[in-house]
Amino acid sequence: MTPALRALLFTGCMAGAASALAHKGSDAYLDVRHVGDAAPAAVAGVPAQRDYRFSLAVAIKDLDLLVPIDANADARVTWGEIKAVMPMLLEVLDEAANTEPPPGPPAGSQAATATCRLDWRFDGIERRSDGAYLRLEAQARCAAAQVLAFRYRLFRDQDATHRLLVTGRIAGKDLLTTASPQQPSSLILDRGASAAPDDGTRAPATRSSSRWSALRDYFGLGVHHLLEGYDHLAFLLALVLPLRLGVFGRVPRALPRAAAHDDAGAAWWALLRTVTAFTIGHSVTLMLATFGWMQASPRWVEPAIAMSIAVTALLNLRPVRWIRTDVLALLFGLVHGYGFAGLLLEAAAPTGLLRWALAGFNVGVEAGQLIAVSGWVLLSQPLVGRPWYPSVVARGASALLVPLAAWWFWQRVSR
Amino acid sequence: MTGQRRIRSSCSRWILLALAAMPLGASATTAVQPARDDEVVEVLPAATRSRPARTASAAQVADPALAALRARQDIGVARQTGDTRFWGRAQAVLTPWWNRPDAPADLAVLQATVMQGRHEFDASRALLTAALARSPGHAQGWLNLAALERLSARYAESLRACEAVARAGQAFYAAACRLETQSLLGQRAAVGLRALADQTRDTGQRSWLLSLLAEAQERAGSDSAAADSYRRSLALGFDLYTAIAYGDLLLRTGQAAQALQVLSALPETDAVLLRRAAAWRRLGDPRWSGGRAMLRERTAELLRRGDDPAMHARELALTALWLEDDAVRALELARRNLLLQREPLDWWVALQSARRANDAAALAEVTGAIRAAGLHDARLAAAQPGTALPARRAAE
Repeated sequence: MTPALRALLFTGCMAGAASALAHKGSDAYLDVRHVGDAAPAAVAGVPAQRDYRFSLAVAIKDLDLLVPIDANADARVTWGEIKAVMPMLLEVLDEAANTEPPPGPPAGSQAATATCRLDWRFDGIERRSDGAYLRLEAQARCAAAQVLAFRYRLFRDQDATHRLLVTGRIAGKDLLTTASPQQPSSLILDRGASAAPDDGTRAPATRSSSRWSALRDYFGLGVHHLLEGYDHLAFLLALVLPLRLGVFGRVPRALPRAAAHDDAGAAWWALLRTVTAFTIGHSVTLMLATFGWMQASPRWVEPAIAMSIAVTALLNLRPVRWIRTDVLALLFGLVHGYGFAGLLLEAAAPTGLLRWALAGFNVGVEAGQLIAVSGWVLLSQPLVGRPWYPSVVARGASALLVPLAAWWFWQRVSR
Repeated sequence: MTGQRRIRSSCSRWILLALAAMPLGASATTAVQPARDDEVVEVLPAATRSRPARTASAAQVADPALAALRARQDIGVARQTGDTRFWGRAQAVLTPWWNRPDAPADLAVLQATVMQGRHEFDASRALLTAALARSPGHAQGWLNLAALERLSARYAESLRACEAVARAGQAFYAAACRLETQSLLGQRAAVGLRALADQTRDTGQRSWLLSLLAEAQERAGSDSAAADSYRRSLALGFDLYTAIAYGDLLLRTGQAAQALQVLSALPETDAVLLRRAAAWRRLGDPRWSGGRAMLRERTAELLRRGDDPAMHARELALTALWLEDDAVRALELARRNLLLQREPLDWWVALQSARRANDAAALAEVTGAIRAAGLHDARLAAAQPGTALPARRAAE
């Protein structure tokens, strides 16, 4: 046995043992305070400005990952070593923890935007429960109408569980939230004067704004996921192929499977029922999985999704009278929901915002679905009226989907 | 991942209820004003002496061997210091392979180790099982799985994993694995463990085997022999977990002063602070209430950063039992904790709490569950009221 293997095995033996220990992970602390309006009143055309004081505390232990503070690598960080790397530290912090200019055309002048950026200064050293922290301070003067967003990327690539704990007081309200450098959005600290009349009582950039941003971010994620998820799209296509959705008053003849619906209205009604059933199905499992009430392994979910496409396409080719499309959509929707959940769980919604993230994501998936179906309806318009639509388009596409889905199934099972 | 979430969601509500009374105060900070340039402001874990070049982000470095090396370093520091941030660092190093079904077995096993370190036991088990299905010859993976099964009091499954370690060609580790599990089942293991310890010349291995021996002796009711083995193990090599286990033995046998001596040399993790406060309290040292306040503050910090306190239910239950004198809450927490882990200490807290709370039904339930699991531990027998001191089922 090589020494390396020995060491490896040995540490493994202790794995169970070491689990008795607990301590919190790496945190940084940000405090933001609104220090009163710089300009007492907004002169016509000139936006009023707001002053903020930012205070940030970051563990020296963590900062040593980014800048080698312990220059002589003796595991002891001296005051002299800290002073020596201070310019580098401040540069890193200016880059990774700063306000973000508002999107779109700049509201004020270049100079006004510049004063809203943070220029961190050393403000002292403090001791907390898990070691010594560097405390930094910065001022910002921002246009009152501007949304004050804070972008935090510190240790994003070095520590997967690092958190920023935010406190403060803005526009007369307490700020209390927690952010992760992994989350895609920046933190909205102040919605700006344009959001509501500034009577000092409006909702500040507290939890409500992070809820809103969770809702918004995960909505986008949901839309993208559906539109980029070729398997969900293929399944939707398999569902809608037999429906002849004419928008210009054509009266298409339905496939045998949809024999009862021999007019356009019935086809639309069938579409509504099928898509709703699919939605209900995947919403149920998405919710169950996200809250951890039920679980499913991607090892069977992913192949099952491929299977659902093949089965639906096969049923288009060889309809079985007693199988209703909407029931099928509901059942397979349950499977697809687990697929969506896998992604949502990977995207790691911040704790406490899970409900909002889930709502946003689900609505996003619906929106994506609507876009996809509308796209298909438009695309199929030149074809639905043709007498050969059922045999060529619906059956032909279904016949293509079967081997494609079978290929995906095989891929997912064998990997 | 979802399995762990299931446990969490059921636990967290109760624990949040239990914590509701705690004040969420601002965390205490003290200003430090260094006077001289050579004043030491912070001491880093020794491992950073050979600081790896982490300037390139983890996502860019997709070299599995390098990533495994770094992750192992971080895991080692996390274990020796009890500092949870190092689990997060290990995860960051493993990012390119994290949760990927096609990750190399080595890296999947390391991910499972990180999850285990964070008490995400179900997720860790699922990941290991999947990785071992792909690489059935991965001895390290089987050893980790055996430890997980032991931790969940699934001793038959644990023994099966030990057999797989043997099949993977690691007879020595397989033997240690089997003996540890057998000792939990009340079978003779001390002779075998001592023989294994004598067999190796590696002091780290010897120290580890002596700690297993100490635990087996303690379970068999031989407290003085166990204390001796703990001391010998720690003399050969420091290990935080072993030191805490030794401290627990001293506390349990009424040697609070000696316990304090052992604990004072350890890094101040939550587990250590809790035991220090308990020792102070028993010695009538007023510092104990300061320790309790600090533990409350740390729990508040955990909540504040969005961690699930359910993962620390064992320490919370012990705190309620030893420092808060709230047996009812301790029992509630201890029962929830049993959904997460089932090591002897976890049963012990539940039994102690049930007894202190005069909850006969809970006592019967826990006792029945211990019997069903097949665990034999003299400490647990002693914790039951109306039961004579256990027969000394000598591990010798």
